[in-house]
Amino acid sequence: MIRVDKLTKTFKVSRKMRKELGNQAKNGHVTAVDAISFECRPGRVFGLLGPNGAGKTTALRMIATMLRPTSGSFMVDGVDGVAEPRTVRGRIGFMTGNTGLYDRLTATEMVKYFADLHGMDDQSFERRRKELYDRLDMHGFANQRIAQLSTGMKQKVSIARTIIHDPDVVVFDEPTLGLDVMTSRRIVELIRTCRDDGKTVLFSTHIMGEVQTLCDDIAIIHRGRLFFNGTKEAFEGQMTKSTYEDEFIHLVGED
Amino acid sequence: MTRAVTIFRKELKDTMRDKRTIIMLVVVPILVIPLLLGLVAKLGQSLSARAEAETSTIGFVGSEYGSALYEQFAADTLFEIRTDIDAGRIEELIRDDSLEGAVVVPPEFARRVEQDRQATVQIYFRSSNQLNVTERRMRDAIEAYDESVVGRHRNRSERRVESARSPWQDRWRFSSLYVRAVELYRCHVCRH
Repeated sequence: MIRVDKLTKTFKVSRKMRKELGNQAKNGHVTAVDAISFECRPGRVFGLLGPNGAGKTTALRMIATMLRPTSGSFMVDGVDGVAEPRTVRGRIGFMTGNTGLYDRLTATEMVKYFADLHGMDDQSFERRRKELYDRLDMHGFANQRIAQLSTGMKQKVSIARTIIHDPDVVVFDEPTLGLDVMTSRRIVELIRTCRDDGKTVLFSTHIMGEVQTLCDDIAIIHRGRLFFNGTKEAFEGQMTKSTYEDEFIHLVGED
Repeated sequence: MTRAVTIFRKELKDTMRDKRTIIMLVVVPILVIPLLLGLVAKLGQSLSARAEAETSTIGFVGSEYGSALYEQFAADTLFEIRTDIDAGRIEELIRDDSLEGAVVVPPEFARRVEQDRQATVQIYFRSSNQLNVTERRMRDAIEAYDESVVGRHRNRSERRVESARSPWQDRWRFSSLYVRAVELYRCHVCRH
């Protein structure tokens, strides 16, 4: 369970940036995430939907304890993420496109490294590794170095290492970005499996198709603020446009 | 701790597979270090050769008390000897580079040598000079003088002479057993 309450993040900007941002940079600060609140429940997929620069990644990074919120709070499985970031870190799996992989390690070495950091014993690791490799179809490149892998293969390694310790809460930041259809489908299936296993899944995307097929709950974020927060059914019930994409554009006022 | 070991092992594995880093760590030093050592040795040789060719200006105080020792120094053309030196100003003259070294012979020196008694001579030099050319030249001159004294006494005496000289006990002191001892004391003069 993730409960986010009025989470805000502001960044100080340089003089040069202030000129570029104009009115957005008030008093030398820009608000990337502006008092957002939502709740992700176990056994459901929560989609944070928004265009580029909306504040999705900043929000997810705060939840993953990589960024400290300027104000507001969040709880992960009942643990205060601001007061006890280390405990939260052990309970979630966070995958972001910006996380680096070590080019000279093999896929399995990479995954094992993270398992060791999470304190997994060899037996649990082997069992979990096999399960994930089956689901993500990773056996063919398990012993290849990361540098030799394709973008899709790397993304699979990134996901495997994110959830190797079988966390109850998983956070994916645009997990299918730039991937081919087959790899995207594998990842979407894995997210569904996580949901079916009773995990709390939070993921960000700007791909409407994924939202439609995968999400149980939706939040729409634009310029740091939430424009919608509710179930997929509630979203569909209030739609005034025929497609998700049109409705999204209408909601954020860009039509 | 376990986490630190895990990170260390991963970093080690990652680094050992980085060919560029390995080349920088192993191959480059193998090639560069001998080259640098060669250059440094060549530079040292060149500096040393230049210093060897230059004359050493030294002060000689008390030449009247040790004329034989003075002659020994004067015979070496690489010494430029000044005898008009006040013993109290030696350190100052070395510091301002007017002198590179000095020898001070005490009044009783010649008499003590003649009487087979321990004689003392003081040498001054700039110990911060890495090449030590002046110091070595002064030492060589005193050793040569010592040899001549030992030889002279050997001829004069029927006594068995210990093999001329005990080794230098340290850099600054030696003793000639027949002459009993000619001791050299180092006076450490540092640049302030």
